[in-house]
Amino acid sequence: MAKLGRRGFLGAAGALAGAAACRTSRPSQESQDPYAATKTAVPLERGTRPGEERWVLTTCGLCRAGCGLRVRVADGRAVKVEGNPESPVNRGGVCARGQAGLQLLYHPDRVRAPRRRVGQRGENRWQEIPWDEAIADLAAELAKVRSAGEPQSLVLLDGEYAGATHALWTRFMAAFGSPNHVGHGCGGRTQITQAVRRLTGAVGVPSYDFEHSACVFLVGTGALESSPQAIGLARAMGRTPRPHVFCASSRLPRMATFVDVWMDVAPGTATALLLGLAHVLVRDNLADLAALQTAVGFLPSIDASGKPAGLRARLLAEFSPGSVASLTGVSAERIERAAHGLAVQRPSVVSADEDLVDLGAAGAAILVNTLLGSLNVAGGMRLDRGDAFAFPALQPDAAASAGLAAPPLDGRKGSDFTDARLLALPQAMLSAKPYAAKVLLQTYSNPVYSKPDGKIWREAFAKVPFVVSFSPFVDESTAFADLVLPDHTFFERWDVVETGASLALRQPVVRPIANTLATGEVVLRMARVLGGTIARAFPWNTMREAAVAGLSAATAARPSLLDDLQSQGAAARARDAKPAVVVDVRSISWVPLSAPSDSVRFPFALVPFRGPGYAEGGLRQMAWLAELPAVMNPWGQRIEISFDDARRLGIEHGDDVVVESSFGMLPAQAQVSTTVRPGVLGLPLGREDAMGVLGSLVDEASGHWLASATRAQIRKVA
Amino acid sequence: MLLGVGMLAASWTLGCRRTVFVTQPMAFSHQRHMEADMKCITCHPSAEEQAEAQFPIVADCMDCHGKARGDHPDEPKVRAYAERGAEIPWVRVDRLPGHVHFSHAAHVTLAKMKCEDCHQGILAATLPLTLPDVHQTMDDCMRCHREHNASNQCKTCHK
Repeated sequence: MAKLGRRGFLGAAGALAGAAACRTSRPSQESQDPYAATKTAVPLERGTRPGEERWVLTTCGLCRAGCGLRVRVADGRAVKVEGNPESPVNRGGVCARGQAGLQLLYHPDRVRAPRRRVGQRGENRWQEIPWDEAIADLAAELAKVRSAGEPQSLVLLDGEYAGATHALWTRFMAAFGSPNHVGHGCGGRTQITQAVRRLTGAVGVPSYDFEHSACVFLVGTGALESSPQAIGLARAMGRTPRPHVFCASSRLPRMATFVDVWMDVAPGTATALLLGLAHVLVRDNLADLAALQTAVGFLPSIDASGKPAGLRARLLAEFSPGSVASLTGVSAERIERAAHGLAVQRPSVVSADEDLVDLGAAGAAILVNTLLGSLNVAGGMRLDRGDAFAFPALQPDAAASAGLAAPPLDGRKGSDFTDARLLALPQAMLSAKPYAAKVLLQTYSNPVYSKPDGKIWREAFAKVPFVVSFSPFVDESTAFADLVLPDHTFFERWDVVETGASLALRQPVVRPIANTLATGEVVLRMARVLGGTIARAFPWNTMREAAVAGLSAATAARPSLLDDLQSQGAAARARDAKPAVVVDVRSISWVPLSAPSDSVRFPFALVPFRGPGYAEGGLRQMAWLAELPAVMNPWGQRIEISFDDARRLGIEHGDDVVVESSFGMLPAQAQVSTTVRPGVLGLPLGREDAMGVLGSLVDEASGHWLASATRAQIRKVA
Repeated sequence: MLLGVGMLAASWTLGCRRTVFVTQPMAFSHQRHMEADMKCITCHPSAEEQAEAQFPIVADCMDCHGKARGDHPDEPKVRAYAERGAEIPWVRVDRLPGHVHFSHAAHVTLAKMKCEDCHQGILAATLPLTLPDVHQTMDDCMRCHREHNASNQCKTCHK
């Protein structure tokens, strides 16, 4: 080994010192920061002082609750999300999902500019194009089908059900001439809105005043986990005294610790359980007399064919606690006790408000609320919509009128948006009956991922010559698009958000971080390019102008509305103290599902549910949510099984298992739980392959998905 | 040899602290501005009200330097930036890690601390900062919080 002399040592030391000095001249401190990904510098707007902070009021867009938010913006960057205390929906609270919205805004995988497909569909090869070119492409395709006299061949999958963007789409489809504006149930609450419309004629989603309720009866676990009701229920639980809570479901989630009585109802029988409650209320003279006298189809009568009619007689004859107990698996005594609990602890409210609940249960919940005198009262269920967002009436031209007269592709029976039968759509697109879909637009939708039997959607997309996605991410459905027109995230755009309790303003918190455009703006620009009557139907230059125009009727009746929205972010709906509501109960019925054809092979009912981290894109865009202890699904598919079933099958907690239905197989990890009804497998949704094991089984009467109707078996992996 | 080892140790230590030497676009003397009887919040207006103290934009500088006020060779640069419609590209030197929340308002308004309690030597600085002037560690923060009965719960700063 060479000997190191004095000169050599000094040389080596100098070289080391030089190297170490170089180490201090790294490009920036931030690039070494493990949190650097969340702190990329943003060019400041002119006149903005470095370090300047703002709190911007806006409205969350991660579920349909429409919570008011205050967002702290420092150096042009949104850095913290808090609840807006002025919002009637959340009154200052905000859930984990709202907090994680920042990760959606700054996600590195966002589509940063419009794209045109250059490879095969699904190949994920794209070419970025300017907005003008992208909108011209889309308008050219639309003009082609309209000039061919086939405006009805335009299909729009729309995941929103209210607000300015949704209203612009509704207007565009009417002006263009297509009846195929199809909504879907994921968070859209189409069951409850359809039930409200059928029973009361009211339009829009109801709200629930849990905070002032003495007793709450929940059907399903959505209000505990992921539905828009969760924030209101959480607030109610923080009060003293808090409401007494019943929950009718086949499983209970971990955060259901405040549920006082769990009624482990058999899957698909919640409607019968609610009718059993109604039976007890009527039988024991606990029902609201005024409501009983005004309800249409409740008291005994004679129908047109001369037969006795009236729901009251059917309730008393067919839904006694004893007979309901045999259907639902909930004992007669517990049914009696729950009905008396609701009657005695007033005000009380029943909520069957999530899209995994049957339409029948949603209607039966309105019936029980009617009997309890809980409609439109403090602590009850509010149906009145009060002032609302609406554009001036539209007169379609001749071409549009002809298109609108065509039968909708989904075979819906009514003409309302909530009548949509989404699950019938892919089959219609595949068969091209009654006509072929030529252009498919998808906004706030990812059916390949979020709907049962996603592969049929892929096949249906292949049949459509031109598919457009407005998603800010390349999700499973967007991957099959020909054109991607990326939307802003909700922190970057204007909108008006309508909820049951409030009108709220969504305004940009930061400037768009990429070359994206609000979908509402695309609609306006597309209409201008198409010209003629379509352009005249959209006289607004910007989304903000359109939003203000849609509020004009409401502001005429309430001049301070716009100022209130600007200064407070949200305003409670103006409405009468207790508007009269006449409930028509004639559509309420319940028919038990036919017995499973292969109950020996598939002895379990597969009950899907959504955790607090579920979104149409799952957990993927918001990594913070994956860290929540309550989210049990982020790092691998889980399946819940009851303690008794697990012991019988030799399955232990954490065992690798396979769940099999007639639709597919799903590897999973067993979660043995004491809060799962025997004979039930609880399936958390959110991972790509979970939907593959669920069947696309549909209630023929309503067109809604029968979420809990799939039968399955489970076995341990050897 | 001592020089070499000294440089090695110094640069290594500085490297560990992630210190960045920066070049500022022009001369600036905090001392000179204090002598002109200016207050810290004149140029850092939100120190009493917000988490961040803010830095002045060129329009603020032009309030006083729109006309020549001295003979410093860098002073005309202010007007040159303003005429070009550009901001002075000051380089920020003090920056907290992303997992630490610090509020100037909480310290200046509620705890009634002086700016120089943390920004030691800033009042006498005759040149713009090229190194961070706040050298508080988490231990320093916690000690001061303990001495003044401020909360030392994790979420006080890490939120």
